[in-house]
Amino acid sequence: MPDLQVATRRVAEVVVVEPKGFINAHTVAEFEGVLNALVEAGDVRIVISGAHLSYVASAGFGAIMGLIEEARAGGGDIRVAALTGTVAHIFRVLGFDRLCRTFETEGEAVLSFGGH
Amino acid sequence: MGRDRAPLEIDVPATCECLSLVHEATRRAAIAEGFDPSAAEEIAVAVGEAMTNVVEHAYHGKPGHAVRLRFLPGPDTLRIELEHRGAAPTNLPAGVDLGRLARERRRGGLGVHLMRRLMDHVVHEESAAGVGCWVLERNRPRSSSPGSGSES
Repeated sequence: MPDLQVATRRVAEVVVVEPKGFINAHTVAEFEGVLNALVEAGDVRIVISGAHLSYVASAGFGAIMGLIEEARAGGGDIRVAALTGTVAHIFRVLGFDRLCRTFETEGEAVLSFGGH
Repeated sequence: MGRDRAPLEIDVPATCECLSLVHEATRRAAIAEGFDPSAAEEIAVAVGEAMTNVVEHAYHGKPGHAVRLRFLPGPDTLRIELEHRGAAPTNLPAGVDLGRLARERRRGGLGVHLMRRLMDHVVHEESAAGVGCWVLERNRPRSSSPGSGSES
């Protein structure tokens, strides 16, 4: 089984990105490549579902940080949902809850784009 | 690995491909030392950040180098050292401004900050002989309140 698999699903105007595995400096290119491709294609309403992540190192959070303003400039955003355990803890201790909107569930995150 | 045993040393190629190996070795060592699984995972992430720093900044991603990973269990802390012979880090940030980094479309600059947030003590030491060493320590959990590793 690969260290990281990144699937995407479209839910109305929102793209849900679902990484499975872990994100570190070795695997981040896969994750970042998917995010980059979406933003470059104008798919800037993005929800990252963290339900199947075992851990995320700073490289993974850096990928979000490097693209979130680009997504916002295009009228969208990168939002995060379903973080658990160590991933949720690291998200908070890095202060990402102040940079990036987070939701308990993927559904809530998708619906949050409704009025935009 | 008990608290009265000798230190465990592992030499690892300084490559990003070895990050998951280092993560898993550290996680298991921390659990063997009595840390709960979530604390062990945090310690493993912090050590992975130090390893990444060595690969990307000390050795500039060039192959053919190694990192000596050393686990030193003490009575009050688990100390982990990553010894290398690459360049020493410069300008270690005291903190980060995520908003500014995001506005500048930066993708890096979080690793040292994350190490410090997850561990109780983080320092990079350099010897006159040109050996560099990241030293990370996490306090052992107390029976009523496991070590949080958070900054006060």
